[in-house]
Amino acid sequence: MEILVASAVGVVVIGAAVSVIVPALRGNTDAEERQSATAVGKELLESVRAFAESSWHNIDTPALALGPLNHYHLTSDAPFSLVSDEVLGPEIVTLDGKNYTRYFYLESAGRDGSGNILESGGTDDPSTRKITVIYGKVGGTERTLTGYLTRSKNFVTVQTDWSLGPGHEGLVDAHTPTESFSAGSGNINFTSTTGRIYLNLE
Amino acid sequence: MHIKRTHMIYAVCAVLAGMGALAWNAARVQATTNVRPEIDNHWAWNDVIEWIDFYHYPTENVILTSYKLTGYASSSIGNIYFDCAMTGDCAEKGNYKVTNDGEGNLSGWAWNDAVGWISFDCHNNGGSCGTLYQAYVVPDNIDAGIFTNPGTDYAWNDLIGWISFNCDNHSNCGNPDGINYKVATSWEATSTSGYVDSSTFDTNVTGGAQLNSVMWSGVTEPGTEVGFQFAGSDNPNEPSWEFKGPDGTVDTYYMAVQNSSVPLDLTLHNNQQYFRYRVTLFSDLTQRNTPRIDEISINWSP
Repeated sequence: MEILVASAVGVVVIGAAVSVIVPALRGNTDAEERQSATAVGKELLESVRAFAESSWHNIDTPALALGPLNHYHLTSDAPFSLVSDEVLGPEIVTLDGKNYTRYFYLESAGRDGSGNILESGGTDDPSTRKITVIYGKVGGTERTLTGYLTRSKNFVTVQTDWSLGPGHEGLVDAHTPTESFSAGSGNINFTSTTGRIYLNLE
Repeated sequence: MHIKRTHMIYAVCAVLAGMGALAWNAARVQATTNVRPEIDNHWAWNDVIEWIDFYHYPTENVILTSYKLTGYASSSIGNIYFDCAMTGDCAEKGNYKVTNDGEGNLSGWAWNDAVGWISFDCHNNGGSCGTLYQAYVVPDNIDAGIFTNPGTDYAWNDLIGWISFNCDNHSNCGNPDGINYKVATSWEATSTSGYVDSSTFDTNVTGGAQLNSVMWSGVTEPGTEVGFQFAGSDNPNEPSWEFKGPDGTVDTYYMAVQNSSVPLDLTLHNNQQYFRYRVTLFSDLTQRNTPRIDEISINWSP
């Protein structure tokens, strides 16, 4: 009799424990998968950002179509290249034995009169792109990450001397100074003081 | 006295009309003057020599610029010369001329062989201006180019006295007994400009660069301005550089204050490997002040 009671109690306790532990374990697994998926998505976002910074034209070519219907991913090995999902299908990333998918698309971006990026509308800035990364466990829920890519690398062409005068039609490296120019109106004084141009007034 | 000379002015009209439409049109084509040809827009008056014509067919040659009055007016005592270059006697007569300070205030001397020097400004030669007079031309707005300044818009000669350039000196304009007369030109105080087109800069960026902004340093004199335009191409030997301002045409400029970066329209100057800048320097309205540029910086992204 005592054995029967003990067994019954044990079954009840174990059942209760299982009902608590199994969902908890499933929850932990979902969270881990979500974290893994997020890591996969962030990795793509940062990779594309680095890819754009290495050369803006990596992501700004006539062949690269903008908009949510044009999905891309990067090849997994350096040097990266941009691949259309229409050609090779979506990228599959395996992490801890589980498969995740990820891709991105690019959209044009606009700015307001103060130069602030707008969520929509504004003046088109061809040197800024909105990126949306789509990621998730294969067969699971897809999630998104968004960000902006900007053409931040820049150089300055400086001219401080025009004293050699007009008539120079050859190319000048934009990184090096020049002392000449192509053409000018006859009332420009470029010779009286080296390094200065101004109007000759009557 | 002169306001009753209606017959005289009508006679002048008749003479001009008699020359016929063909001759009139030809004269207009030949004209090297900016005096306005309408009958009441090119006459001055003196009580002794009477009408003085600033648009004398077929040799009209009076030009008012922001710097001087040139050519000569005709009168009953011969021509009145406004600068010695017309008569070639600058050395003999001391390089005389009638000047404009750019704001319409005329000064200096004219010459007539019969009566000698004609002063356009009582301040000439440090004059005391016991009687204030100075020929004046409105520099802007609706009356631009018109000699007018009631009460003082005169020139003076010691033999013939006052020369009036506008009937409003006597409040007689529109008087039924008088004649509307004045000297009017198309001159207007305007800025003058000059430009420099740069050589072709090669960014060495296949696919083209983005021009971001421009900045210059130097000296900005009052009333002067500096504007920029840019042209881009993928052809290093571009035969026809098309300079553009912020509206995408050659008619506008990126107006830049010195030492202040001016952002460019990114869509207009995007993804071309080669570029040129055009910098245009604008004087002030009197054409006496010029900006001075010591450095130009153009920021671009590969």
